[in-house]
Order: sequence, then C-alpha cells, then structure tokens
Amino acid sequence: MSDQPPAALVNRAAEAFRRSDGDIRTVVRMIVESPEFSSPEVYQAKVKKPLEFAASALRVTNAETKVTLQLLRYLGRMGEPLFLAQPPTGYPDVGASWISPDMLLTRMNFAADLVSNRLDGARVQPSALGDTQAFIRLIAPDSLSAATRQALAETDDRQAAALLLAAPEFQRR
Amino acid sequence: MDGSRRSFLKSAGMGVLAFGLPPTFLVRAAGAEQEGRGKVLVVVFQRGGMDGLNVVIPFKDRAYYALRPSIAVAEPASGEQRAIDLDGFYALHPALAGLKSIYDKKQLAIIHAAGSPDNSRSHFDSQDYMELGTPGIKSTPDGWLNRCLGEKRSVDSPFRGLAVGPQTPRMLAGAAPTLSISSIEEFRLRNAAMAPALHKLYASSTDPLFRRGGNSLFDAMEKLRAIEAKIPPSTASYPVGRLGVGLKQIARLIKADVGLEIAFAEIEGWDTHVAEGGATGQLANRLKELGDGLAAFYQDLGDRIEDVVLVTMSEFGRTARENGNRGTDHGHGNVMFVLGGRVRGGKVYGRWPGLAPEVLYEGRDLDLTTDYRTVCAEVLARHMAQRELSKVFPSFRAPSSLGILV
Repeated sequence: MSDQPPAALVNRAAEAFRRSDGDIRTVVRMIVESPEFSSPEVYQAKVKKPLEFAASALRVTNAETKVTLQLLRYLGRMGEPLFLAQPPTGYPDVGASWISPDMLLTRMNFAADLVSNRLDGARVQPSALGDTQAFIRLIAPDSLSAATRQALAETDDRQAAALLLAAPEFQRR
Repeated sequence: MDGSRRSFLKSAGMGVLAFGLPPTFLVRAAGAEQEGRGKVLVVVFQRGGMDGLNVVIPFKDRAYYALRPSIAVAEPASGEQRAIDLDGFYALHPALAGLKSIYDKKQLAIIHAAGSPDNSRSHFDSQDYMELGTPGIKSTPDGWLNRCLGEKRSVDSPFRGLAVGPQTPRMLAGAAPTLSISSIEEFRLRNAAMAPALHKLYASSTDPLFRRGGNSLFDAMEKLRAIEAKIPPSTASYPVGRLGVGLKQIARLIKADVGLEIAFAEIEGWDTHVAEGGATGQLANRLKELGDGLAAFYQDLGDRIEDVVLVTMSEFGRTARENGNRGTDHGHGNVMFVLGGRVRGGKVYGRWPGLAPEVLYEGRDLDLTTDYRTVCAEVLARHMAQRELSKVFPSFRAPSSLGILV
C-alpha cells in the first residue's frame, strides 16, 4: 500500500493477526477491505520493484517475451537479481532502495532497449507503440504530470513510448 | 554567471546549461584537474563472513588440524594443494598464490585475529557495525568512510568518494557527496537522444523521490562525462566478477587523477556453512577471485601503488571448529590484508590468541586481538593524513600503533 502505512491500519492488522491466531488470509482480507486501501493517498504510493517494473513494461507493450541472459542482467543491475537476494530477509520493500542513480539509469535503458527492440528476448510490435495517446490511457490515464505531457508532445511515438516507460509515473504502482 | 566560467564552458563545448542547472561540478572538476597525485584509500568488503583461519593458516598451532578434520589446508611442503609458508608459523591458502610475490616485496601486510569487537553473529548487525564504524551502536547516521570525507583535503572533486556497484554501501553513505556506479562505460543513456527530455521530465517531476533520484543521476552522468577523456583504458587482466570489475574501474580513476580519495568495492559469497572445502572448493574459489583481483590491481597501478593503500575486511570470522556440514558457522576474529606501496609488508601482524579450548572466544571462535579500527585509523592517520580520527571512529582510541605503514 505504502512505505508508511497509516498507523491505525497497522494496529488493526496486528489485531486481526492476533485474533485469528496468525491467519494471513484474514489479515490480508482485513487490509484489502479497509477504506485506507482504496484511499487516494495510497494511489501509486509504492515504487515498483525491478521485476514489477520489467514485467509491467513488457505487458504494457504487449511484448513477446523469453527469459534471456540480457533480461536477467537488467534485473540484477536494477537491484533485483532474480532468486538471488543475498540477505535472508529478501529484497528491500521501500522505494528509496530502488532508485539509486545507477538503478534508475538501468530502468531508463531497459525502457529504451525494449521499445527499440534491442532487448534480447523481447519483441515489441510497432502497432503496440503506434498511438501515444492510447499508450498514455493504458499507462497513466490520470496521473501524468504537465512536464511529462510536454516532453511527450515534443517527440515521436516510439520515443514517446520509451519516455513513458522511463518516466517517474510508470515507476509507481 | 561570470566570464571565466562562461569561457570554460565554451571551451569544453558542453551544453549543460540547457535546463538552467548551475554547473558547479564543472568548476570543481576543473579545479581537480590542476591538482597532482593525491593519496587514495581503497576498502574491499567481503560480505558473508570470511573464514580467516583457512585463509592465513596457523599451521604451527596444532589445534588447527584437530579442529578441522575435513577442511584443514595441509601445511607447507613441496607439492600441490599445500599452504604457502609465510613465516614458519602462518601460511597462505594456495588459492592466494597471486599475493605471495606482493608479500615478498613487502607491500602486503596481514593482520591476524583482527575484526570488529562486537559479539553479534548476525550478518546484518555485524556489517552495519563495521560499516558505521561504531560496533554495538546502530543509530550512527553515516558510514565511517563518509566521515573521512568530512575533512577537506587539497582537492575538491566530485570523485572524492566512490563505490563501484549499483547502490551506495552504508560505509560510504552520509552527508559528504559520493558516487556509486557499476561501470564507467555503461553509466550513460543507451539512447542519448532521450537525455534532454528525460532530464527535464525528472527535474520538474512533482514526485520528490524521483525528482531527487533523477537529479542525482543526471548530475553524476555529467560529472563522469566531463572527465571521461582523461580516464585511461585498462590492460591488466582482472578476474571475472564484481570485485574485478570494481577494482579495474578504481584503478582507472586513480590513474586519471580525478581527485579520488576513498574507494569502495565488495565481494560476496563468504558464508560457507556447508561444503566449505579446503585447499580446493567453495572457499578456495572465492579466494582465487580475491587474490587474483588484488594482484591485478597491484600490477595495474604500477608505480601509482605508492599513493594507494587497500584494506580488506569482513564482518566476522567463523567458528574454529568445523561443523557437521563440513563448513563453518559465524564466528569472531578474522584476517585483514593491507596492500600498498608504503605498507611495511612481508609480515603477519597481531598477537596470536591461540586455538586451545580455553582461549577460544565464547568457547568457539578465534579471539580478537586487533580491532579493525586500529588498522583503519593507522592507515587514515599515516597515509591519508586524517587529522580528526575521533570524528571517523567516535569514542575509539587505538591501543597502540601496529607500525604497518612506512
């Protein structure tokens, strides 16, 4: 939901955990059905992890995808080498952990390689990127900033798709 | 904007003013260019807890062989897969053969039974303590390498502090600006045409997290491009892996004289609980990468090694006794290497605490006789001319100088 979920909800979730004797299904249900869960404050409050970012970029471009070494390398450079989390506590779950300059650059390069069909294992049909407005509706119908809209207006459709995938708006979920 | 700055930008032929960002980094980079060869400290962190007892082997302490029936490294003698004698008591793991000639040239010193004094056996806590420079205290806001940078030296360069890797390690994180990059060559947008639009879009984003992230990124890319022409290619052959990549880039930046003072590289995979191996195997493979990496770095630097000291450390050592899985568990005292031109090497430093049951730390580990901060403080004071060590290692006073530097 958020890197800083509301304290009241955390307390209710803890209470649900205790009351149900640790039943995770009960806890998740309680969270999902809470008013906080669908409140505007938590809309796109989380930064996509690298795998979420890569998967959502591949899906939104309708790319035919095979897992290749290059794809795995990209995930590693974004900070999430697949199934290779070093600490036993797993990958970090707060946004700031995923946007060092090097990781952010890697996301941008992933987006550029993907739309120009230079990403080994992924093939994007030109038709998927043909219409920038349709692409915007798909990605971020109501959260595109003025800056992003202006940047998009100054570029061609293919580059617009890369910009959209590399833009801050697409890094959140 | 004054005339000299304008003319510098013009002569450098750079269009970085496109978004009205102040080009302070160029002024700083230009200043760094006039400076000569500065001193450099390189820290190599071995994450996971290296088994120091199988790295620099105390082969004359007979308890060693009794404690490690299946993973001990055979004492020095002629033949393959034997430890390499250093001084008649200690011997080097055979996978570290690449370091022996540097040891013989007296430019590699070894400190045994060294490390962080806190008794935590958690990787996280122990790494944090070692990186923060305050064993036992988690709330320290910055890493000790960053605090080193708090002291101004003659050169003010955006490359004073650098980590090779995708993220800033805790040891280097803090108020003083630093850079973290995986690769000099690849630290650029693959589609350069997108740069202006992306820069603008991040700079004017209403999302503070990404606005800051984007600004740091574009700032770092500009800094790197501004000095790129000075960075020589590398001809040395480094081992494959993250450490080799890291040391190679650090060596290039040292040779480029861009004002690098503090560099950080790391190597993972030391957590050998299961099937650690002896002269060959899991640990030996890590040591091969470490030894070959350090040797390549030493050779690559040539006479620049005179200005460089490299220190290795790991969050803790491992149990003296091997476990039921032919491995070792989290322990205490460990081994540190100090390599450099001004190192008084060819010697194993530190008091040997022994391996008899009654002298083992908490009844199971090699005890600690040298605090890692003693080693680091000495390097900082003598090599880096650090004046205020109490800011780097608060409330720590080194018992006495080891004499590891000329």
